[in-house]
Amino acid sequence: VGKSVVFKNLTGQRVIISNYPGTTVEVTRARTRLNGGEAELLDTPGVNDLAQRSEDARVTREILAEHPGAVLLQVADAKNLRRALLLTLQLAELRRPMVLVLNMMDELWRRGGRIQVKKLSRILGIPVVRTIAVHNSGTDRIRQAIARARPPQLEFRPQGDLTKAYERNQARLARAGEILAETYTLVPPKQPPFSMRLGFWAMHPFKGLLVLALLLAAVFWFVGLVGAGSLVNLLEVNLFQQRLSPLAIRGVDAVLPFPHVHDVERISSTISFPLTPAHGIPLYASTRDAIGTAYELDPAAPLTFWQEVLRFLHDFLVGEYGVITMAVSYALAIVLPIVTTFFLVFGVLEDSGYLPRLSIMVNRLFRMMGLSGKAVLPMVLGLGCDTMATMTTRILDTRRDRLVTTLLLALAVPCSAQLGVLLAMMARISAAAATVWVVLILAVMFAVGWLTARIFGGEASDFILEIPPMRRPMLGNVLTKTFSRLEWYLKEILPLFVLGTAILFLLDRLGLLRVIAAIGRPLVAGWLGLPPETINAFLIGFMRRDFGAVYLLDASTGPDPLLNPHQILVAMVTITLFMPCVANLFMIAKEQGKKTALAMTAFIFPFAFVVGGLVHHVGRLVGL
Amino acid sequence: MVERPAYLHCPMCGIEFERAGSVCERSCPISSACKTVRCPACDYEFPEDARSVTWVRRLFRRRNAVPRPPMDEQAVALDSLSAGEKAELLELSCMSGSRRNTLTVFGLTPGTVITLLQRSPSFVIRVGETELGLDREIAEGIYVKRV
Repeated sequence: VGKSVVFKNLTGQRVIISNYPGTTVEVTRARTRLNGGEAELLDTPGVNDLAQRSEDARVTREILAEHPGAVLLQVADAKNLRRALLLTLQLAELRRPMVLVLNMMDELWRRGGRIQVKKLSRILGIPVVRTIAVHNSGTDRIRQAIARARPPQLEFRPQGDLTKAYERNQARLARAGEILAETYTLVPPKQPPFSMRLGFWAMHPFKGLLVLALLLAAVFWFVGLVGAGSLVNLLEVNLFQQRLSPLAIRGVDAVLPFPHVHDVERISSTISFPLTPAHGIPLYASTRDAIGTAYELDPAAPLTFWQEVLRFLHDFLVGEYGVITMAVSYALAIVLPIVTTFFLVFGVLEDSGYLPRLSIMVNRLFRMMGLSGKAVLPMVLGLGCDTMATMTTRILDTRRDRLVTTLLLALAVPCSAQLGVLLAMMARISAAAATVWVVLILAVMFAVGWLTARIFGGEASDFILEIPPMRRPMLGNVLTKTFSRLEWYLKEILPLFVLGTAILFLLDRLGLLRVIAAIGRPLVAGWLGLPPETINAFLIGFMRRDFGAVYLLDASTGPDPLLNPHQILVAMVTITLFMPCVANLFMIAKEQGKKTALAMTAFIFPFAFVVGGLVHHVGRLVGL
Repeated sequence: MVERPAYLHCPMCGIEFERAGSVCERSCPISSACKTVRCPACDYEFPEDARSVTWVRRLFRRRNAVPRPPMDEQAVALDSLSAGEKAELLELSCMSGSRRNTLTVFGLTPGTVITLLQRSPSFVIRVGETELGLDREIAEGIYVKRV
């Protein structure tokens, strides 16, 4: 109902805001100036009912208990005043100073509703404020009202069986209905607004599928072709390979001199406006000679010990496994454009209110997996970042749903970074092979979901989902959200990429990489049928699977690729089923306990190799 | 194998909770042999007699499986309405207390007028200005009267 927007308006702090219930899963707090003094403001998850069994209601109850002196600010959806008054009556029983904020007044007016605020305020005995928080209207009125906050002057004790929450809530709703009759009028407009009709189409059995197909095509075009294609090309080839890497190599050579000559490569690229995966309108073509990471030493003059040290540092920074030439360029040139485009699209989808409608569309499919349609939200969010999504599984009501969703996220839902790389790899294989990949991953999701749900027992969450109205996404909010997610993402991946590269570099220098390759040879070369060099990809894939995927992409592109199409498919399947990243593992441990996290790890990695190997052997038998 | 209900009722505070939500201390030495459960809300521990619960539940279920004598002759389950029809809610039956409460706080109380917006791929109803997506299974437990 817009608590987070009100919170942002009052404190100026950036918070993630989306158009569906359950965006806020963690409590945010911020200090702010208020009526001359300073105050601390807490943003809680949303509740319809304080007595509910859900995680959100529990968190909110705890906050209420921890801060006995706090003023309560109830943010309500003005359209749904009756439901809001139910919560007001529950809060009134606490006898604490409070203010009722009626938010989304614009939507109420558009639907022909009117609320007599003064009368409502008199009946409840607390200040009532009207706001349109997304337009930052009414924020000052909230500030003034907080000073006038007082305990509700309403005599109401719900009758009914004390052990039956719903009976008391029915009594409260009856009282809310009486208040409503005195203060609320509704004259619905004859023609429903366009946004409402669009909302219906999005969940219609036929039109809904059409909307979904159009959206998928649009997302694929924007993220897969513009982001992972043109933008990555621009940043990786034109910026990094042609300009920044040579610059960095020269710079390092100047600081750490030892006699060597870098090889010069001719690098050409064409940036185009993509139309289909294979066609596009060329916009800009360039060819440049640039120096690469490979270099030659003078065989006549062996290096002194000091020069060897310089060479070691040189290779650490700009060598084959160099921090700048590998970690930074992978993170900034390949992953960054992909996640940026994805987060932009995702922000627009979130704000439009489409995602709950998607739940309606796929609820039955999810039922087959033993999940409820509500699990769509974490799953789709997982396409952005699995770690964030693991946290959002809290919106699910039963432990079984949370567990199965967490497992499926870790196993089979590729995050945006990896998805972009996989889409780029997909362009290297035939359409049939790409279909095999998609179908296989979906089949794995269904099979594993169904089995875990069976083994774990318990019940799936009830599918009772509130559908917010379709709204026009606001550019400002989408951008803010994209930036704060990118900030979080970069803070998290850059150190891990650098660490991963450093480990690879050290293993390479100590000769351990060859030892590991020899140990892993039966697994990678024998079972998966991949070149032994790709063991590196799986090795760093343990840390971040998208990093491993980038490595595989590197191996499958270029004039003389290391992998043939069949091997690309095998590698894609295996790396998709890897655990997303170390951060995700920690998040699972935090949310579900260490034991569960370990069990999941122990299942996921061997499972990924088993499935990958099966694809290899079956594929060879069938002759793909 | 003894059939165990997924939801338990705390006799102390009346809250309904999931069995999986009632984990006790991990270090407890008698964990596997222990026959008591602990309420996550009030920490009251009570013995859970699986057999009697099953028995009670079976009885309960049988009583629920037979449609209740409709208090109104026109009472039908929501899933027999067609899309676009308006109906007055009579009662929520055949459901656990928590499900009933979830529906109640969304404004579904006896006497409320609801509109069935669509039946497929999922049921969508409209209560006041709230649109709710539901499973067929839940819609079957909502008894209404056409208006």
